[in-house]
Amino acid sequence: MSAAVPGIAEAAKLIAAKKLSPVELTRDCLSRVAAMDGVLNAFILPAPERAMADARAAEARIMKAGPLGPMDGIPIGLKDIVDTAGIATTCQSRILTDNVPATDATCAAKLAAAGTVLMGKLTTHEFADGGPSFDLPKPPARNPWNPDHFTAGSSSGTAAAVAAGMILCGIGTDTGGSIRGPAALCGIAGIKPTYGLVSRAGVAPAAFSLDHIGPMAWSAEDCAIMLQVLAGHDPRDPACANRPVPAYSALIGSNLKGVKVGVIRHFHETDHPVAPATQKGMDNALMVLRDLGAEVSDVTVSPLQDWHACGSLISITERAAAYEEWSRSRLGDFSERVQRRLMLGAMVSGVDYVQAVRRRRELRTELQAAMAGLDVVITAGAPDEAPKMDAIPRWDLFDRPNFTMPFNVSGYPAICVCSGFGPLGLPVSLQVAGKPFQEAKVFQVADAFEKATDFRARRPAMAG
Amino acid sequence: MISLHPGAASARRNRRAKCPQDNDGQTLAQTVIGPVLAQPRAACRPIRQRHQGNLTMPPIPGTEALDYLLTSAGLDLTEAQKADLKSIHDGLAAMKARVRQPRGRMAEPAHIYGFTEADLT
Repeated sequence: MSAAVPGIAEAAKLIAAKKLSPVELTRDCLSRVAAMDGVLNAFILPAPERAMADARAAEARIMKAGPLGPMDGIPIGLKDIVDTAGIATTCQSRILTDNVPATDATCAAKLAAAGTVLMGKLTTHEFADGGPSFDLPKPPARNPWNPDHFTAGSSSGTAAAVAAGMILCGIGTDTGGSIRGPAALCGIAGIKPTYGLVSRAGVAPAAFSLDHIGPMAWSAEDCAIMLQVLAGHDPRDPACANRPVPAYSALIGSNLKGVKVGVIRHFHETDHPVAPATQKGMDNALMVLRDLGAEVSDVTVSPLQDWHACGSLISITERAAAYEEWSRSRLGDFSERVQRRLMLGAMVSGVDYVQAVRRRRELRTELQAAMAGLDVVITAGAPDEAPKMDAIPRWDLFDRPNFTMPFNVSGYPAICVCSGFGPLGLPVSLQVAGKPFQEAKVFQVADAFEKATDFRARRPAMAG
Repeated sequence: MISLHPGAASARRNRRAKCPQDNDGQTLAQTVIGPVLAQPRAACRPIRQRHQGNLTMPPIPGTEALDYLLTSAGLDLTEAQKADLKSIHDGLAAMKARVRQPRGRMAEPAHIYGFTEADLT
């Protein structure tokens, strides 16, 4: 196991220059899986043979004709709600223990076509919901910064594996924050792209109108590289946008002179006041962004609780509809946490749902107006450092509003990046959101912040 | 671009002013109906006093009402699960209150869409 783990951007340069072998890179990642996954549980199903076969194929291809692109030979993982042809996709559920899809999800197929090395299927909360659960076929993932602590979810394995250097990037999905929450608590970067930018075809639904597929990697720059492969129209997904795909790395490395940043301060200072370490991270981020040339101003929208209520009611209902058949026939086969979530569907009426969808339109219009003249808005990614595994409330949905839901409700792109470390030595985070299909601007701001700070130089101690 | 009901913006401002508890880190349920919850349960029942937006907070469903809802949903729950559901009634009711605004009957939901060229081919 090497001491340093390269990011995608760095690895791609070395691979293209034939200074880094995809086979050696993959072996190094596999050695990390062997050394750490007994504790972290990031993988539901490691696929070392497939990984080595992919790596050898990539190496042969690169030696012969050069890389297909920057993702060629890069070790990745897929959240286990993403269909993989010939490889079990269990959704971390007893209900799908023996499920082996015949075809790849679109996102999996695109990553394979880009030459990536599939390391295996990554731990998720059951059907991307609830968690942590200890009554499922596999144990929940643990946080590499301190395995006694939670990763958040539901893309828990992806975040843990990236932070520990077992993979360079992976697929996450995000219905209310399931990419950004784990990214925040595990100190990596994770972006929920604009709704419809990345195809959901072949990925188990959580809530159709809130579901997003997106990249999770060590840095914003790496997420931009991965998103380039994932974005684009897919007729298999009826919500997938049919529009040109821009260069997501176009603004990476540029300064922020003239970039207009709005701060939704009331989200993290009054609606749901964050811990001192997170607040310090936010204050520091504003200072850094100003120093980089950004023009910062405050913006106000409806309280965080309104966004959370709207998204939660939609999520409860759409999930209950998606899993109605199994709820009726096999409710006891779900984890206790997911049973509770599915039961809620009986308590939300059709009128409640439509009122939530009407509220959604109002909130989206409000955000659109608030962002007029701005490039991005920022708020916290999570309220604090990761809590302990046993400290997650039984009904967490009703405990506190989360900072990520507003951008599921609106469909706007949003990324979480590390903004420092708290007193427990665990990461805290910053969230940057942009206008629809303006991911390049989101990456520009997040990347500039990361490169102006030294938080990317620090990995979890167990990862070396 | 959607036009909000003319009164929506001011209603939101007013609503925020009425919810100072938003600022003190309470749970969602506490935020909306904390003062009510602070009273003995029996005192919570006059639901007309629990007005929030366009919603009067409904009472916790009784056994028959809950059974009706669960039967309609096709769910067969244990007594413990039913009690669990009742325990979050106030939190769920608070969410339902928050999505109800003084918006009028013409306000459209987010799912309204227009046909595209692809629909014509």
